[in-house]
Amino acid sequence: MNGTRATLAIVRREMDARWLVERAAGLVTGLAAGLVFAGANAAGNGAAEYSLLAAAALWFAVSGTLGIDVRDGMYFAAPLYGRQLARAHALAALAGAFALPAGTIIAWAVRGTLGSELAPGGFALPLLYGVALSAIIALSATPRTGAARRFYALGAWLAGAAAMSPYFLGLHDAAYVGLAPALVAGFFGLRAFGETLARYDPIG
Amino acid sequence: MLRVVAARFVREGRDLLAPFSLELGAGERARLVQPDALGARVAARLAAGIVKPTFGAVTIGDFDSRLQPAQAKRLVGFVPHGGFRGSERAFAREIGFRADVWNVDVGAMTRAAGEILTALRTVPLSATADAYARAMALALAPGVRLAVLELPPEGAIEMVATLRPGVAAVCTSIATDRPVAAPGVLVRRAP
Repeated sequence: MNGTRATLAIVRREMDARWLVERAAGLVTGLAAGLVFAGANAAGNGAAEYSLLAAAALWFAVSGTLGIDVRDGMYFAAPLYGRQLARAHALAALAGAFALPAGTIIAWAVRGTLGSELAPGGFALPLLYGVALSAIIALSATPRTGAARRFYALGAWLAGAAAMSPYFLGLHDAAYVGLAPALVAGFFGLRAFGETLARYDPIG
Repeated sequence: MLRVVAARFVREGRDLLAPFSLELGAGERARLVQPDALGARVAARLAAGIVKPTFGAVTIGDFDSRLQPAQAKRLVGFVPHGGFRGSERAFAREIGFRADVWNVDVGAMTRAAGEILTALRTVPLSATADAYARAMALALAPGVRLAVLELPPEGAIEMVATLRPGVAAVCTSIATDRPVAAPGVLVRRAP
């Protein structure tokens, strides 16, 4: 069995025309935000603008991930393991979630502020791992319905916000402070999603 | 090719499928008769390795559907009740997707699906036949050894025997000749 070929096929299947249009909209939004919003400095100036950017990026990551149809019956009839499906859906979710931050990073590069944003005190890393964590945790909402789905979606947004919080709290080397917890939470989030898929019985 | 041993499916404490057993060799056919549509869906998906039995065991080829799901499902072509209702373009994309997932040549799979579809379109299955025929073409094209047809139109399982004589086939249907013990599975083998 060729795992890579199957994984890429699943990722491509999720990237339909609607997905591309939505990601393009996210990229443009991120670009505009990066061009308009000034960076938050040590005195806290501009923090509100970056909070707005963070909130929008997290919402974009969560809502985009909720659009992934993990309950498509074909996935469960195909010769795939739960963990293979989980990895492929995670790749699709991450590719989607990074569209808005990618726009912002392009804008920073245009403005010439990318270097400072990539520094330990900058916002580039927290923005990237925050949206990545939100997207990964939001995957666990996708096989669910009703209140459980909303609960996981909210949890995903809050987890991303928590990962970015060292930056907004003005901690020293904030970009690195939030990284390790985000990686650990992301690992367990992806693992939990894989187990959910392995246990899922599509009889609807 | 398919061995079901005292398989049951329980959800939220409710038996959706009473225990049933079945052994099917290459080229053999069986019909699992269920009292309702939910039972028919569960029975088909259990036979295809898509859902795991709560009790008992399902073996496809030499693979246990619970322990080696990917290997087991590689041998199965599952045809869902709704068939395939996408556009021609979506159908072509679906062939490409399945070729990637089953790790077979796209060109060979496209040709196989086309041949099956052409053969199926020469026989009137039912009003919903085209969507079902396309789903059958997608299911059988990767060269599977067991076809599982969920609530198919009349004549569909016989077409599997015509198109792929060596392939074992199972279909589900809802009982019309009551009484059938509910919940229960009545296994009818093809002559």
